[in-house]
Amino acid sequence: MIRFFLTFCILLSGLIAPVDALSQAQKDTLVVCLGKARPKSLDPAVSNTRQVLTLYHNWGDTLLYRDPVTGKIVPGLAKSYRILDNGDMELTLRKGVRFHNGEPFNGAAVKFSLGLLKNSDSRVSRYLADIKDVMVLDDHHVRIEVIKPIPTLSQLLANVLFIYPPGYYQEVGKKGFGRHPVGTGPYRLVSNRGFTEMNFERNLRYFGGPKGIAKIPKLKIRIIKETIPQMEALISGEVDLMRSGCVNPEQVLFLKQADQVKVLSTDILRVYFLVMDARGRSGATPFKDKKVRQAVNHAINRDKIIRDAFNGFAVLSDSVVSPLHFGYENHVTRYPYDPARARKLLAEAGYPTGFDTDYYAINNESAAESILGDLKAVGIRAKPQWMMGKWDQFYQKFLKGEIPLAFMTWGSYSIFDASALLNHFFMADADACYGTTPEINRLLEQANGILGAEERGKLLSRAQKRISEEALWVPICFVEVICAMHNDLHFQPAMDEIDRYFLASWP
Amino acid sequence: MLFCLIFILPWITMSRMSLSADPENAKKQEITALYLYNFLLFVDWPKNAASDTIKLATYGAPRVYEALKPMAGKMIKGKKLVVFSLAGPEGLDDCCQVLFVGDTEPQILKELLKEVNGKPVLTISDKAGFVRLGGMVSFEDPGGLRKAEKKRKRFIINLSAVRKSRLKIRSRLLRMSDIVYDTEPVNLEMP
Repeated sequence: MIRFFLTFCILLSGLIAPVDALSQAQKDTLVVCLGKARPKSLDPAVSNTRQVLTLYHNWGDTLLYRDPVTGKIVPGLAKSYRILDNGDMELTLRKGVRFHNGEPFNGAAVKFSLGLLKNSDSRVSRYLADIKDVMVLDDHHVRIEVIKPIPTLSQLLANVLFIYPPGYYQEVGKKGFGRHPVGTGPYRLVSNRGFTEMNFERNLRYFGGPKGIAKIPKLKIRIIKETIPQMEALISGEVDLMRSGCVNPEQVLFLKQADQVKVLSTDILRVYFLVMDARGRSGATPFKDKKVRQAVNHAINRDKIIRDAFNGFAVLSDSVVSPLHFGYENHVTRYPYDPARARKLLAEAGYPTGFDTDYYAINNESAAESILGDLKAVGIRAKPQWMMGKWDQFYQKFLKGEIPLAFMTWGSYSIFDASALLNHFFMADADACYGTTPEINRLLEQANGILGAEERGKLLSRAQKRISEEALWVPICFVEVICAMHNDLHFQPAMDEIDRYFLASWP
Repeated sequence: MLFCLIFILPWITMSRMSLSADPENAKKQEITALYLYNFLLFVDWPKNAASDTIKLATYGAPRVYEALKPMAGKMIKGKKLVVFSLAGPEGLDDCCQVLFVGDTEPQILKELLKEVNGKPVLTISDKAGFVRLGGMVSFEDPGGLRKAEKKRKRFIINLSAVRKSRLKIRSRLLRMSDIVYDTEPVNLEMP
């Protein structure tokens, strides 16, 4: 009898005890803070923010897939593929795959998707410019036809050629698809509350692709506008995981002390840099003068920015690309921090008392402020235009050529090749180009048509050297991505900066 | 059996409740520390007050002090963080750049604020009404765990007091605040 009562007492005490953190964590939902800004669309052809890209790879699929552990490209929606002598690629598609709405995935869907993504208003059209068309051989066989051999073709098919359901897209249109996208991925969207809270459920009919069935049944995506409330939500257990890249490096020191939070990081492709309008697209600007650009390079104290604003989660960069990009070249012209030399160069350029300019920044306010102070110290009176987290609005202005000076970042669409950044920013006909030379343009064009790694590497290296000699940008650093989460959550940030929430699990 | 019912059941229940209450309390302290930490990131001290350390003093807040202690010695924006607990207002003269005030008598609070009046010392509290007494920053009930955005804690800044001390609060922090006062203190009584 006594044993019975003791057992009863222990059971009762367990029942009336408040729910502790672990049992909360064992819930069937993974709550992720995606970032500060509401996406304007969930369609990656419309919005190229890292948030939207990350979500895409959770609700959608691509023909090929990057294994997050090995980094290798493996078949995704395609079962197998081979590259033909002329650079075309033939793919055998998986059979029996359906989109979340039941629509079948087939060769017609691949052809429709490429057409949509090559459209001039698509954010990724430039990346796919050298793909001519998709020839549908039959329902389960397609040939990707190229204009010229594309060295990064398999990476493009894993990271940029998003697959759309033709019937559904045509039914709901671009806006409708952006609000409620349908894919073949491990999670399917259930509700979207004004892009501030998006609820997903596990796709139980997920095909036997490399991603596998999502381990946690539900995924809730939240947007939290400011840093402190984001951290507060993580510590208090309202949020289980901060999207990789969403954690401000300044917060890491604090988060590492928090009991129920762990912080992980990994090297990624992302680089931070200052773009100067060397072409004068934004109007009459002093940055057209090479001496002014050299002065700006000498004016910026990058060591301080890395120490204070990036909290050490970054490495000073002299090249405009990161060591993870194929073709990275570190032996480029260096511009050590030297404000006196910067002032001298400005005087030589005809600006002994400096000048005024607008200055845009979209990320890492501390770094942006530090740059502002450095510019002021040499006489450049930069008027801050902070567009923190508002990538879509900023990027639209950027592409239109309205920005004289910008502190920004680029993740290269997770393509581990220097051309993914260089083509985008330094080819003369690119909308994002604010400075290049005929030689740089020629080097990049040559590199784009060659498959041989050695020769390509040399061309890409030479292009980086010329970019540095011309001081077209101020490269600041390449960074580690930081990810903060509940202590009990099993999750790893990936080197391609794409969070696979379907791989997350509770113990 | 009766012994079990009268003594063991309440004992087990109480001890279980107290154990499970600890993580909640720890979270509250961590959230208070989170706010304090961010204030350090977003505040600039005048050049003549700057040194290679940031000295943070707590008064009447032993739990907050405990939560902050592990961060002592860490570098914040190139400066070493020093954390200590004050025994009384008398030890306050020129000893810190940040003062966090917890539970205290109105008279002592008045003395504390008088001690640092006009000096480059950022004064912070989690008590309602603090800024109206001349304090610079308060975040009401910061330890309370909010369940919805509407229940978010109020975060209040007294710009007049900040300016008087020649401190600069970055625009990021001002944007996050719910109320920014720009007036002299209205009274010296705790509401």
